[in-house]
Amino acid sequence: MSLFFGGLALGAVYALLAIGVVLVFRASGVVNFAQGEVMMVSAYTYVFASQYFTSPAMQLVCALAAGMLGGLLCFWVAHILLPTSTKIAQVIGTLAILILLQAGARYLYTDVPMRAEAWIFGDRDIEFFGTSLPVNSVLILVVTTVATAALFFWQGSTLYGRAVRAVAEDEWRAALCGIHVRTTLAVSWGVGGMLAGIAGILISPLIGVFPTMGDNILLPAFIGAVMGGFSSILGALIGGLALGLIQTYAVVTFGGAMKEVVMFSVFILVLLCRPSGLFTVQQSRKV
Amino acid sequence: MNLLRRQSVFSTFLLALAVAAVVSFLPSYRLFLVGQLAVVIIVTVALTVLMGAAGLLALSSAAFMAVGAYGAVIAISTLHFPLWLAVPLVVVIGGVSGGILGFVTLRMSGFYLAIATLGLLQVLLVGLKHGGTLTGGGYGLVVPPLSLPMLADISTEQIACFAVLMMVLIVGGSVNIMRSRIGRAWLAVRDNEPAAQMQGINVSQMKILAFVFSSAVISLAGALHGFLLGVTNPNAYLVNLSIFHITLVVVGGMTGSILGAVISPIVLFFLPEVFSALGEWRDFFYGGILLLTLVFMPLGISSKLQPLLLRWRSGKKASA
Repeated sequence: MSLFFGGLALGAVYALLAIGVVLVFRASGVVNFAQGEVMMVSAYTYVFASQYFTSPAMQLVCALAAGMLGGLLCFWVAHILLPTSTKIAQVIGTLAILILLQAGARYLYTDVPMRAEAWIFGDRDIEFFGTSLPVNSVLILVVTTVATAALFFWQGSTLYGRAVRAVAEDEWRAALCGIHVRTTLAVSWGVGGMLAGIAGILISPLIGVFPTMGDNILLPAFIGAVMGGFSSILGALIGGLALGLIQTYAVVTFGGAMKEVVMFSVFILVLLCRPSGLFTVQQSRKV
Repeated sequence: MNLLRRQSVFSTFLLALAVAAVVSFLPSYRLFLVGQLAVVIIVTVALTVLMGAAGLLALSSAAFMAVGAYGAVIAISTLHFPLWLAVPLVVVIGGVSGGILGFVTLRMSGFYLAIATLGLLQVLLVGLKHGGTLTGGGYGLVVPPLSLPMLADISTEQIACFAVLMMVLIVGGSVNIMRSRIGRAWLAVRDNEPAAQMQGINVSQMKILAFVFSSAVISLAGALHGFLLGVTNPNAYLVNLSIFHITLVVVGGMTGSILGAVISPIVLFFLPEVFSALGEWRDFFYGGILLLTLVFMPLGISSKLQPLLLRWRSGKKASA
């Protein structure tokens, strides 16, 4: 049971990153390879914020702000600095951000992992259905659910959220309807960065904070997004959660080294059998 | 036409021998660096063909270098293959695995390849770190003494000369491929996929072919790299290495220009190494260069050099 929750909690972190990636990809057609590094930046911010502020709200605000700034930095590079006509250059631009942020973090704080306290509740355990669980993993699940629900409400029911979705569907026609395309794109990147920020707060007590922490999380997040077909937020959520579970049980069954192999096999299987995602109706080939 | 081709193959071979012979007179520490430069040029050329000509973004160059380095060492010391068999074997393995990866991912839109190649790299690194005695775990493997039927105890200097030889051959070969039907088909696919398809080009086949070619060549470079250093270590093949190669390709120009792919490693790798100028600023330097090039010179160094070269050529013709 605790294993199940641990897997779900890990999956929830993957899902947060995956949703951010999907959100940005849907809006602008760019795969953000720097998403893991945005998470890293906000994790560092969270560590330093928790030294200055004791209030969890302030810690959250600082980390979210860092995440948003990270997302906006990626937006600035991919959409303002670089011409939007060549997708491959934009994607390579995010790779450059990845390298620069990693190098910056390594220069400032070295490779030694920093310890982070778990948000709000610390390292306590709670009783849940007769088993004791680290309260942090329950917190991760709750926060992820709340964040996704908020995202759904925003995109489904508010006017501005719908405008963002309209731009994602067709930039040109959305612009004709009087929507300011560039602003909505920036908002998408910023929200994606904030999701990475939440992921940073939640994951840092589990694995520590270090410059390359994003590397190991980015790939599962991508695979989760691919399981969702790279277009649906719900698909990315389910894909991320499922991947967390698969990975946890794979580690228990086959040992730690097989984790990546199992994940990669899942990825290849999804690509071979359901390239448009596990949870979508089969459609014609995506170009 | 046929005669011309044979002539160009012959002259490339002569040129390669001549360059290798000249290089072999360098002092040994310079020769080592030149050998490394040759390896980097080989990788950049192979990746330029993939990214620039075929328009595919792949993060797997580090993975295929690892395949080459580890594959060669394992084939020689564990499986007791002779050197002349081990290296071609490794090249074939690299090409085939690249082809499989290409086949699986290319039915989808382009960025799936980037993700899949990132995944391949991560899986391979974990495999290398946990491979026990076969891969030497986190410490890696030591390259055994190398020998050929005619030549016992090959020295690092000889390997460096061989790397230079292979470099010239691969550069010449790539120039010829880019001028051939296949190279033109790659450019057509990159520029406009539906139009290329309507011309009767088999798009998936061409993309997979590009992937096979570049993976095979990068595996060869990996084997040479491992031989040069004398050790193979899993931490040498992180994703940063792939991004470094991509930087070189972007600076050289994502237009499929082989000239740029030769120049940019010399400027960005060889010169800083000669003056050992980078130190801990290495990542900043390459990341910054990558971004600046994308912004200010999106077509790369070759777009600036090509007009000069043309003028020089026409000037030479006029005087002759």
